[in-house]
Amino acid sequence: MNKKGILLILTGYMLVATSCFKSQNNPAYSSFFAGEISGNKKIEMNKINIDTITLTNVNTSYLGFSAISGDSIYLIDKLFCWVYILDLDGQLITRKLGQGAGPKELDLKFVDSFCFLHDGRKLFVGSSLDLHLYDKNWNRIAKKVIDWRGEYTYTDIYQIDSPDPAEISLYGFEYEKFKIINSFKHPDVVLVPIYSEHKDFNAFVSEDYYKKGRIMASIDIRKAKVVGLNGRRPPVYLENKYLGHHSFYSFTLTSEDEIFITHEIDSLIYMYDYDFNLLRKFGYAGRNMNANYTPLTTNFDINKIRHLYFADKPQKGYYEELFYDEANTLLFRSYKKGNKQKVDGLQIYRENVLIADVDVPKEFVILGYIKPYYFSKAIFDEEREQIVIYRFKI
Amino acid sequence: MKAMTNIFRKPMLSIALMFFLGFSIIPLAMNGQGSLEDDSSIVCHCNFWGKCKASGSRANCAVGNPNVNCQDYNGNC
Repeated sequence: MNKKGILLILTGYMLVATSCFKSQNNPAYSSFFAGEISGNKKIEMNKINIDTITLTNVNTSYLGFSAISGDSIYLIDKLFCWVYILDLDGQLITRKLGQGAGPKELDLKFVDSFCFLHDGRKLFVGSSLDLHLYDKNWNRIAKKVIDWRGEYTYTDIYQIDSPDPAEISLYGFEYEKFKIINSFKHPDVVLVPIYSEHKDFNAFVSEDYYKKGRIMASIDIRKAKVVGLNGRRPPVYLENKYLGHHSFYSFTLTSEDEIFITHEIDSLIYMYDYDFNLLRKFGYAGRNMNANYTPLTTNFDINKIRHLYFADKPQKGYYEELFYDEANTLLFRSYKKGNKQKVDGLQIYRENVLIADVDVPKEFVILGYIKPYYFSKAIFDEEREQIVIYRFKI
Repeated sequence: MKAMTNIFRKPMLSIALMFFLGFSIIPLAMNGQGSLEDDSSIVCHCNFWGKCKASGSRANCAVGNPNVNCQDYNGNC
């Protein structure tokens, strides 16, 4: 073979390799959603009996989260940075952390989110991309700021017209739906929802935002660095331009790092592997949901957008939260019906099969499981100065 | 310079200066998230929902309030 032939083969090889690399980084939009809808409906229960636990002895700002880890329920006060630990009857066991700069305190003005890692470490996140990591005995390990730079800095990207959807600095934490989940296979990696507010690339102005925008970031908490972006928003969002005030999702992981995702206005639940290859999709619409969504049909207008989010959205029904009980292979999905309905909804799937779609009290959102009970998230009611947690057995 | 030197010759003024430094400037500099490493590039703005976050995009902070730069004196949210 002469030199010209070798050169041609090498050039061809480089072209193929480059295109493969590109398609790996930019998989086709359809690959995230295309495929048969699996599963069916086989209702096994029409009602669940729900207990109410009312807590009145917790000193709190009434801005908080709840969590389940091991056999305990945790209440995290966003403002005072206290972490209360409760037993499964809601009895207070102890209190940890609290705001302050000490080694067993949380140096934060406001807790935006948290994650209890599988190895016992605790992660708290503030509004400035700041991570606060504690060991299993609540001693501070590290305070770090996430390096969220890509080709551009976090500030410079706003000066760029038509940015690349793969650019890291284009995105930030989705603070309004800020759920952090620890990977099972990568102990130092957490997965978080992200979004963009770029003027040319956001949920209210851009079709490309829905087709090409990433929805989830992988963050290495040891390096405090974004190590991956992935996921897309489903096609249903492009049927109504634009429903940015509903462009949120919830997700959960299996112990194999498979990802279940439910988007607010999509009745389907998508299951992906860790690399976002679609494994299956399934699901049924909730009952009596007000799905008459109001899109923003005008140019970008921040006052209209806030009206849609704060005033219009509560009237609508949407899918809100997922919890996967792996031991019993049950997937729970909480949904809102809209504020004209007196109850909200909870669906239960076994594998791909819908086995229950029951009414639950308003504000009920599934949280987790401590044998023998399933628990709702805590509802912080400042007016009545109480915290309510629901629980049930099936 | 001479005035500065004179301050330290007057005990009351020196004590006042130490109190000023001890209770105002030094704690401010060490306060909260300001003590985090490498936070100089983090600038917060109001986001679409009127909250001060690192993901904010310079949207107005609230209806009628154009104060888009919501960070405090240390540049924190």
